[in-house]
Amino acid sequence: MNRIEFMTELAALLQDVPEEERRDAMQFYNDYFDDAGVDKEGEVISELESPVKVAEKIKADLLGQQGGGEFTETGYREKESIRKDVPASREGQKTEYGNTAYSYENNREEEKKPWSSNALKILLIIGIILVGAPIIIPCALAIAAVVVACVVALFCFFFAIVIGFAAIAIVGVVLTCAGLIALIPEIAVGLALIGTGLILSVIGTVGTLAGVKLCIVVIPGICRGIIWICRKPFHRRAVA
Amino acid sequence: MVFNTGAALLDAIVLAVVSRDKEGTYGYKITQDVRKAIEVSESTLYPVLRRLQKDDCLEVYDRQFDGRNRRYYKVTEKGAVQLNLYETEWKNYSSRINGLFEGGESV
Repeated sequence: MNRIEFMTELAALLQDVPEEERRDAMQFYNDYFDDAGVDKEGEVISELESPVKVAEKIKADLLGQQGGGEFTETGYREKESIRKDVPASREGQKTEYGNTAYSYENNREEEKKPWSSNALKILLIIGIILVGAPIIIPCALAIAAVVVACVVALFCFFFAIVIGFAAIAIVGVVLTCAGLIALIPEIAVGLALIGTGLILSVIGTVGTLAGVKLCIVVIPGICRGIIWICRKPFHRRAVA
Repeated sequence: MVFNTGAALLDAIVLAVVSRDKEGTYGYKITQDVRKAIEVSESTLYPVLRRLQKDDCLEVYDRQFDGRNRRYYKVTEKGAVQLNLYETEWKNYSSRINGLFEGGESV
């Protein structure tokens, strides 16, 4: 790693600190390399260890002053958990009741023919419910929950693809802008940032479009599949 | 070194180093001077300088050197007061520790 690579990486790592902080740090380390001289460039780089370490120390100090800034992360996490928990449990219950009801009706119709007595029939139903309920209800619940979780995960997966690529595109644009700004004090860093930024923008844009297309193809398919599965019991009943 | 250098002591050392130059001094030289006294990694010094600058203990200015702008650090009045306080504190602290080590009177 040489000086230019070091400074470029440091600039990229400091993208999420305030502009003023980044400029100050970049100027400090730029001066530092200038004052150390070309002969000691390698020595300075090995002493500083890595841009990651330098950036970490700068950020740690900034966080210490502002009293921590993890609100974005917790916010994101909270959203995720709400998203996953609520639909899974609620929809799970709905489907579960639907399914068990149908399975009982099927059973009853099958048992109807050999046992013609009304009293026996009722006893049988109660018996089946008593014996079967503790097993069938939790099983149906579990299966429904798994199914709903899978569907939610599928949707999230495709959303994540789109959002991920969109994020890359945004990072690309931001890097390009940062590069343009950095161009004035430091041409090398600026050019490197612009280059990286443009590449990322293109990858991000192409990826986002591909992701959206993928979603357009896949999501209606999933929806149709779900509707088909949900309709199945009705159809069977109609046939029977 | 077996003893840790805490944030306050590091601040004090940096203030002392910077205050030796009335005209002010620059980042690389500060780092080298501090490293003559204590073992500290080069990447530690910048955040300290930045913090002292934000606390108005240090002021910065740019001066032409070798056809480029070099950033200089200078101790402010507040910084001088702070350094004074650190020096007094350090004298008390070190004399008590010395007293203990050398088996003098109880502290």
